[in-house]
Amino acid sequence: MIRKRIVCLLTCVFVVLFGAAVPALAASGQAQSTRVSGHEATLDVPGAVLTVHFDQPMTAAATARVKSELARLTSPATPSAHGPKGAYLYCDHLYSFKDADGDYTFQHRCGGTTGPWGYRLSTGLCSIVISDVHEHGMAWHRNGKRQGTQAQHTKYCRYQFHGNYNPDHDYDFISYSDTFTFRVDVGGETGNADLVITGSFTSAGCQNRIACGP
Amino acid sequence: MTVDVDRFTRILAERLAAIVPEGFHVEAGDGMLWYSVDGHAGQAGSHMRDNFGVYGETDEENLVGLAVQALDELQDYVAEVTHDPWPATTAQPRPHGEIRDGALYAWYGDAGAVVLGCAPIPLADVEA
Repeated sequence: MIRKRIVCLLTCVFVVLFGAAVPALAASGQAQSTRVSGHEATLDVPGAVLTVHFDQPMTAAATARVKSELARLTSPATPSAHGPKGAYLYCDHLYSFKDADGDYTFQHRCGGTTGPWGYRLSTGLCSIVISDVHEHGMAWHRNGKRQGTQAQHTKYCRYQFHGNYNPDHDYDFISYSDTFTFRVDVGGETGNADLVITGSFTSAGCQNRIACGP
Repeated sequence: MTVDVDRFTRILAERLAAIVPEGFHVEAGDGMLWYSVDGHAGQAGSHMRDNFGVYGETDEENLVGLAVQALDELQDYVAEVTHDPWPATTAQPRPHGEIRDGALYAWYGDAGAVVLGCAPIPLADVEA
């Protein structure tokens, strides 16, 4: 009985530790996962999650095709960078964060009051998109307070989606989330896809040019 | 005052539709303002219902905030389609709004140099 309890306790400890380790890895930017099952496929990279809901349940052969197509989509683009996660983004710099899904850009003029951002879906992702892309509108918080959700847009896939964090002053902390919805054809399987991008950063001023970089 | 946001959105759509260049359209629907143009597939929309409440403590502050947001996003839409600044010809005039004499005023340009403005919206017309 006592042995059973010890085994159970050790199992619980393992589950708790392992469960905690997975999101930690994802948050550190090292994880990228692809899951395909039934009606759904998910491509998960730090800062962006692409979910596809297929029109029909997939056979084993279709599942294999979809996995292969998604692997092609992400390879060799294992992200060397991803959306900002609490980083200091200094003023008077243009920042770019690329991953398999797209490229998020941000800039802010020193002493300025706004922060223009951009997002462009990657050529790889656009190779499976078969419709216009509907952007829901950038939802964002400034210093923990919700701000007005920015405009919705419906555009072609490689459109440079853009907007403005307004106001955005030096050292404001910005967190953001936007969703892009479109139709896809993955290895002959069609469905609806949602791409959700998220991130956060301090829109930092610059007191010291050396520290802020060139 | 208590604002009927959907009614405000409909009235603002009428005001904006009256000032956009020929071929452009502004319509209200589903708590949004929608911008479109003849012969162009893409459209854009401003969140009105969802954003009421984020621009300040009072309803008046929120009306001004929504109006300025709509002007800003409409300006971006028109300028992108035409590839020209709008409503000015050399630079984008900033959108502004204020409540004065019981009405909401919204315009592009500085207070002393209005480039283009909407007809005022009486607050009584948007009360719930």
